[in-house]
Amino acid sequence: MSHAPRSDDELLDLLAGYCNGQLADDEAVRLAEWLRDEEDARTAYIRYMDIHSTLRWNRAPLPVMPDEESSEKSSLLSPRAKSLLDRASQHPLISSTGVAMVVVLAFVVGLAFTPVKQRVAGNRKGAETQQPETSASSDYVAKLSNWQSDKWLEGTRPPRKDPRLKIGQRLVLESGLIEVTYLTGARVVIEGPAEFVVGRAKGEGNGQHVIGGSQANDDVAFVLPSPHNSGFLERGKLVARVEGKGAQGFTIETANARIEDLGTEFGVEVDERGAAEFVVLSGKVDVVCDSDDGSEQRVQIVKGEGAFVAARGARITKRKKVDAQFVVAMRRRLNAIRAESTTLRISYQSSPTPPTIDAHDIANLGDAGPHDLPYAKDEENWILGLDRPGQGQTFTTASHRLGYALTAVTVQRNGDSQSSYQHPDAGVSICYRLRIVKVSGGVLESVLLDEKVDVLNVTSNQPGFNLFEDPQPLEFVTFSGFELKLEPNSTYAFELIVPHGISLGWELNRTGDHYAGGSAFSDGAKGDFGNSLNMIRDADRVFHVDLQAVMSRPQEAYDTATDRKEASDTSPP
Amino acid sequence: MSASNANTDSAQGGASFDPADHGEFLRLYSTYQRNVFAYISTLLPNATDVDDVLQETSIVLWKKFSTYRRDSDFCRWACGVAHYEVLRFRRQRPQVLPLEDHVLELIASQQLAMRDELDGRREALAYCVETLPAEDQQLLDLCYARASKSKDVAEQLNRPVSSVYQSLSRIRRALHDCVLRRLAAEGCS
Repeated sequence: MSHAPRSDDELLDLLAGYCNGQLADDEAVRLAEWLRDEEDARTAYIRYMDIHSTLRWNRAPLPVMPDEESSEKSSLLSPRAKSLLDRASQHPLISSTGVAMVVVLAFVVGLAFTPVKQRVAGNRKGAETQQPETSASSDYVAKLSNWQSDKWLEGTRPPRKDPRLKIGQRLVLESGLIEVTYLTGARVVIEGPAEFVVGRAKGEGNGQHVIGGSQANDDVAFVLPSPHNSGFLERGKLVARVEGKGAQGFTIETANARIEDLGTEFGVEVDERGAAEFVVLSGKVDVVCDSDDGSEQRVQIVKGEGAFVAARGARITKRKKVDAQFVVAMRRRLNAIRAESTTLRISYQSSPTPPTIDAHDIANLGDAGPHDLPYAKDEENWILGLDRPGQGQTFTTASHRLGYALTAVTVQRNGDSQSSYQHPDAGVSICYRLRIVKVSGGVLESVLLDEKVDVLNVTSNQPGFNLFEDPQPLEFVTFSGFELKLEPNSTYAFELIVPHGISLGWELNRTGDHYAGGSAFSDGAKGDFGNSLNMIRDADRVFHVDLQAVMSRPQEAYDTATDRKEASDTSPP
Repeated sequence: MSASNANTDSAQGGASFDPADHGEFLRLYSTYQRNVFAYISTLLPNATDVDDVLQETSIVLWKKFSTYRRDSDFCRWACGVAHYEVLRFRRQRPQVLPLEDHVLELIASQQLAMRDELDGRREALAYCVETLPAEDQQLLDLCYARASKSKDVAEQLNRPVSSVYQSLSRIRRALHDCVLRRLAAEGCS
């Protein structure tokens, strides 16, 4: 049968309408004809519909509670069977009837999964069967050893007078940074928002080691690491440093994976849906995940590598190249805690008035006119997460012997009224990322600051015009809220970018090559900073860096070895 | 009583408990439920319809498990059962897309043949979803997590419903293209 020839785009448009429930009758007939007559169309259909179904599969609703009888039965389940049941009951494919059925089945299977000791002791007081066989749950295994700008969910902060932490203690950090030091010597820095449980997985807090048994026999299938030397990150970010014999094997669990230390420093980030990203900064680790078929997948990753496990994922994706910026930023902030410096959380302010240039400041305000570039040179000035690099400026400090404190960076939006790439909706925020870097020998030597700030930019939607209200063309934008020590006679750079994937942005203003102590440059690509100064521009940004000469003896630079010792010896006030 | 309830009652009433069988069923169903879900979803776009058919399918599988040949492919057997449940459902509730039974069978057999490919695409998709802007991920969460109606999501976001549809289409298209790119890149490496 003949019908109108189709294009791939047209087919995808029809499939989009089909999934949205918006297909008109004539469109439905056309799609049905293609599916009847063309194998390629059926293949495209199956692939597209599989995306549609996978998006749903991976976003299960909140748990459906089984009926009372089923709940009672489920309390007798082995943890492994419970986990299976939980996964089933949380899934859209299992409604309440299905849950009841699976509960019954899981109960039967659960008995087979339960280790012998628990079965012998098993009774209808299910909770009791889940209690640990040791008194470990009452032990203190760690302490809160440092904190900064920490805000907690009420009732979850340990008392300042007794910052010891028990196995199973849940820490719900809304913002800020804390450090947990285990008696084994392992140390974990956690950045809020985050939820972390000391000592063991899933927030159960019972210190139990056994999480399952073999279906074929009653042997314990796998054993959790010691609750004295582990933690569970439900969401948020952490960096763990593991040193010394006592801390060997330190383990961080996430909802669907765990990372086992083999003598190292590593970072973990878990998003709201449970997807976990692992990064190794030094040494090596094992990342472990239970596959769908119940077998264990174990991948070793080493310094500079990473691994990813999707939400509800049952597979580890190894990454040869990773973005460890969050780890770097957390380490730097940890150093800041220990130096008791001011908060480094940056803030944003825009103003039509240029900043005042004080005695030690460095600035290139020029005539601060529009200085629009031809379109072809947009790459040099746009900050846009979709396809632009970081935009920066190097500058050189003067000779004050004790150095300078950098407290603010100001740039100017150019005179072009166009901003953003796509039509933003009202109420959309833009995220800026500011980096301050020490430059040496023409390369970016070390990152002193790498922070993000969200700003509500779009207060009205004007399709086709794409204006931001904040900042307006030619307004000055100041980032502040930090204090960084800069050495004399040294070159530094600030860089600004809108993080990857965000289709909002605007252009930085520029002058000619007016500033002798540095140059404008671009760095990286597509919303992410790079690590080199290989795109020097023949111009300078309109910029201002707010510097004060350091008048007292500066704090010593952070020394890793010394500081580690101090931190482990220091109790919170 | 609806057909759904009738089946449920008969399944619960008629099933006899053999721990070995039920353990085996649970293991197999847990392993392949995602494939069965995908199979049904390909033939029915509406989330509620998929849930209904999946519910029926799981019960029928449970009832008929004694007829399942242990040396055969459970996934293929389960999808075969699901296929008949889809056909039955489509006869009860006519669908927007007027597909004849033999076309549904063509799609079904083609999909089974693509199992390995689809597994690879789902891995690529997981990566691609992670690279979406936060606001797109949030929209997916809102629309897919509870099979929410787009109208409700639009109200929640204070956006026109057409804009939600538009965004969903754009995001799915972006994911489709991203999966293609990622698979192509993996093929090159």
